[in-house]
Amino acid sequence: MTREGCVRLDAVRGVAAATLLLTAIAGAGCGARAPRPATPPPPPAAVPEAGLVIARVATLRVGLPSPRRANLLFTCDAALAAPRIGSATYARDTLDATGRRWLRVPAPSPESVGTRAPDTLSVRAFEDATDEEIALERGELDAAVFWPGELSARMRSDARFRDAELGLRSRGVVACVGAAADTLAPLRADLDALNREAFGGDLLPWREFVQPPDAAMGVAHLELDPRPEAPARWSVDATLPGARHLERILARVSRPGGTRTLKLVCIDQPVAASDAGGADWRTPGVTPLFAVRCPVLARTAAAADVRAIGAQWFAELAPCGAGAHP
Amino acid sequence: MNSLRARLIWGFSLVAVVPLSLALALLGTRIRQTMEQQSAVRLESAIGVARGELVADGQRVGARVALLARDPQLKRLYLVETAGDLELRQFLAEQRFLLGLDYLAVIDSGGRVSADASFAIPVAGRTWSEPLDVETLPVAADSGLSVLAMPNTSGLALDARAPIVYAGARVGLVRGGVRVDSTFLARLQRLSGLELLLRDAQGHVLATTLRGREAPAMRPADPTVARARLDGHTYLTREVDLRLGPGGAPPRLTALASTAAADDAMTVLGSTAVVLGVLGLLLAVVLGVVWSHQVASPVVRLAGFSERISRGEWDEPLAMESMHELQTLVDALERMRNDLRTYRDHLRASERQAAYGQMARKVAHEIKNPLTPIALSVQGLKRSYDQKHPDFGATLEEAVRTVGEEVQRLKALLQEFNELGRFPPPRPVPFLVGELMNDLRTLFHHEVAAGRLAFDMPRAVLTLIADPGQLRQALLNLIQNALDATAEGAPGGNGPGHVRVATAGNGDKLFIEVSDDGPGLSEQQRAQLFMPGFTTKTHGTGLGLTIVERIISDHQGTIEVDSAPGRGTAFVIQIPTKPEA
Repeated sequence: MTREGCVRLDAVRGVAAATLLLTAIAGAGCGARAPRPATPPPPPAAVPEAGLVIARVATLRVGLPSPRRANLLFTCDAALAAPRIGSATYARDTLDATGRRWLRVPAPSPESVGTRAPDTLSVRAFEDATDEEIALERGELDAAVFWPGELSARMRSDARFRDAELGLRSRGVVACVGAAADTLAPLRADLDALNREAFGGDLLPWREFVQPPDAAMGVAHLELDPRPEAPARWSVDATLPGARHLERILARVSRPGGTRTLKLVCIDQPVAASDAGGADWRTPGVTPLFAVRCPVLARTAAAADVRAIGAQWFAELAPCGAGAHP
Repeated sequence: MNSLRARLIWGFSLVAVVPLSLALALLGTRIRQTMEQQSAVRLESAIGVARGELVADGQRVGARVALLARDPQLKRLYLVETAGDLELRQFLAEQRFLLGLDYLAVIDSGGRVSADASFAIPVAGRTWSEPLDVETLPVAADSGLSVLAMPNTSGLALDARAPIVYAGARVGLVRGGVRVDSTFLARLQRLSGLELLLRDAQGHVLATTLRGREAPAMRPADPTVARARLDGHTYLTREVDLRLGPGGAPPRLTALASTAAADDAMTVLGSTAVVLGVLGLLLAVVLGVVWSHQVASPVVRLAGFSERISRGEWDEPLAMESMHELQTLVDALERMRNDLRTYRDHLRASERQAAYGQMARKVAHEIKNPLTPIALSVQGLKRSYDQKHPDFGATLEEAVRTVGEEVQRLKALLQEFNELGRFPPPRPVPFLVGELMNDLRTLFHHEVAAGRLAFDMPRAVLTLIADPGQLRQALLNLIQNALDATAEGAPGGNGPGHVRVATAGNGDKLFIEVSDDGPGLSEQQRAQLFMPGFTTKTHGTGLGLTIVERIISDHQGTIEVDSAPGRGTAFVIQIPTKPEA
């Protein structure tokens, strides 16, 4: 296994073997509905922007996708666990009849400034993305988290939300599985078109993903695929909820002429392989393509707070999804 | 109806008309039943189509409204404060046009209309349709589909409601629908070909395809196929509820299937039946006449032949070719005629021989009677001559007188026998019966004057074609016999009896009765009355009544005698006024 590429010739030889291996790794796969507790991984260390001063955030109302709200890559039915933002954890406010309000524990002192987590977090789960958008527009939410590709074109083009944050989820890799002996990479144009058409550009291309500092080298680095690109015929893992939709898009946007077949899969694994050797899904024939990134929209008044807290924390608030149970 | 021919004609007519009438009646009933069954089936089918169309329309409307209630743009326009009412109303108006609805509105959770599409949309320079004011519609449940009566009895509406759900809660509803009016009925009419009628629960007509015609009265929610008259036409009707949702009194749809085709068919069938019946009757009458003629004519001829046989006219053969069954009878009758003629000839020969024998005995007797006094006279004369009797002269004179008288009697006797043997056939000529009676009254004027003989002259002028001389001879004999029989009067009576001659006619026959109140005849005397030589008189020849019977028989007539001892005697003669050739 290597971080530099998906291929190692002396490793697993066939696509089937790679798929079996991925299945074993990912359990039921990204599209499966098997319940699994949402246990977010330890968050990466947040790096504050230089010169950013953050006032204390008393209350933040956040909208999340309901567990029953599926997307193209995965479904989930896990119950909302206790939110966690950075090092802050929350407990349910027992006086709140709606059950939406969570209080930070331990409670921050009134004098604390620059804390990157709100004192009170009001979380609403929406079964309908439109309702969540409307709630945000109606001012019922300060921030709203959407699954990749969910956000309507209207919201994307709305000047108020044009600069929406994209929160990277810690788990979930969209990859392609080909022959272990495949020495060619998929066409970047095909992948860009897929990201644009199906996900509104929400997914993070793997080539832009900044891996955390290598343990040995101590510096972050980009994981680039050195293989030459070539057209391919695409298929999509049938367990993905949007498999047919994705297949149609790939069939439409991919460049013709490909003779090899690549299968698009979603792998429930941490995207940040702190130890390249420890990411056991990185086998020959498996090429990571995207990391799962969720749009996080915020009202103008709350945009700075969201940005300061870090959109990835909001993306992690969703009770399931890539990283929890894709 | 006593005529065989009439019975045959009636029979043929009945045979022709009754089955035809029955067949046509059954056929007509069957046709009517079949056409009514077909109409009923068509009615049921149309009702099914109408309900199916209504349900399908309702489902379409419901699906469109439900789809619209989930439309993100509608939800955003309704829920986001920054969206204005104008935008929502424009959106609703566009959707109303696109979804083909007659009205569309968004109603908030308080039941107030937030926005509706109640303004006309110009499409290609024309207004698409007149929108309906939703607020005038009856209140309905928050969701579902129902058929509502529109205000002012302007028809029905397929009304669909769908909730607007926001974050799991109902925050309003979309209400839309289409009119179920005459246009809707016209579409169903094109599908079913039936007249249709919409009423509300109270029976008021909401829409109809019966343009300008009054709707028929119907029993409420009559589940059966009924009949109704409308503008002189008969319809089969069927009414059903148009209930699409729970609650309320549903409107009713009535379908009317015209039975004009069945009625026309029955009219044509009736006309055809009458024509066929008349033709059948005429044909039956013609066939009856022909066939009855073929059957009855031989029977009539046979009856005539039998009549002639009964009259003793056995000489003319029955020349007739007929049907097989009747030919047997013809042959049998002909054989019977031949046998009768043979028997008659034999009988005549026997009678003739018997008569000849009797006649011979009579002649011998009659001749013997004068011969005895002649012989006695001659013997007395010879004895007087041989004895030289002094009275020989007187004896001779007496003997000569006696012989002369007896010789005269013998001559008269021989004359009568001679006449009987040479009796000529009658030479008929027309003459008046009254003249014959006058002649007889003149001949017997003494007896008439003495009151012993009376003539009842005929009241009408009777003409008879017969031989007047022979008939006169016959009547002379009968009158003379009657006068002789009554000369001594009835036993215990006063003086001689009376004789009456009466005549009468009926056009075809002449009746002459010669009656007396004499002593009458015994049974035995009546049996021998017309036998030659039979007489009750001392000096009669016994040929008088034989000659009378011969004359009457030669005139194709009959003579009958009615007599009993002490009751007088009556001879009745019947003679045809015109003898057959």
